[in-house]
Amino acid sequence: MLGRTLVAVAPSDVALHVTEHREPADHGERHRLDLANGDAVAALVDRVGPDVIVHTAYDKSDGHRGILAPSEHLAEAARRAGAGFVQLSTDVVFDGEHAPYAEPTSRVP
Amino acid sequence: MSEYGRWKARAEEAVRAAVPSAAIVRCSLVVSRAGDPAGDLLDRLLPGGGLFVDEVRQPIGAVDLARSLWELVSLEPERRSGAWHLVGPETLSRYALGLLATTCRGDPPPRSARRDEHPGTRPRDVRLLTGRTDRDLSSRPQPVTSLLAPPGATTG
Repeated sequence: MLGRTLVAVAPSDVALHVTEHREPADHGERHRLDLANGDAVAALVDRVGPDVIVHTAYDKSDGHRGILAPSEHLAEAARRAGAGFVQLSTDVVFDGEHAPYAEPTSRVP
Repeated sequence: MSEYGRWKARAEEAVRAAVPSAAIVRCSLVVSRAGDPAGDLLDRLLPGGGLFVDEVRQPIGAVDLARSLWELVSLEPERRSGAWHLVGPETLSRYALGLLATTCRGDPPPRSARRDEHPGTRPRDVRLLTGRTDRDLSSRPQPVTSLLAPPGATTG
């Protein structure tokens, strides 16, 4: 849902390419994509050649397929394309017993 | 740590390994109300059971978070790299946030709960410091107490 807001308030001079899977995107140039499919992710990133990839999608119901694999595929595709990468993460990567956490603070597994 | 937190942490590590210059943006609960571009995200805050009075987060409005992200994207790559904390300016318990949400919608208040009544792996207090964000971004998220204020209400 954050992705929907992100594209809705995008600066007017940004050329948006938006991926959609279960829910349709309603802004930018739309691309049907399963982020867990590494080959499909690589092919799209190679074709579009983005300056920056902003990765907001996740699916809590399957941690590997819904969180880890999409991040791995997109980051690897960004590396090969020389694109910048912005990964949306969460405050709950911390253990919750040593707050507050500064930006450089190492995560406590 | 929750199962979700573990997977997100592994995703952070995978991204850093592939793209060392990546920006890793940690945010808190994201909220919006009907009429926002994301639609009403309040339902996700209100699972059927009680909400913890002793588990705190720093919720942020979806539009405010999105605007901060675009500002971050506009930075030069070397300034963008690394960890960022984009959270709201208030620290609220899950219960307090749920109460705001139900009041906003005119629903009955949620039921409160305490963590020791429901042992689990959810982190108790994940307040994030925002020194880098405050220094390097000009976007300032509004308090969710303002975002979720009932129509006509004033917040101090």
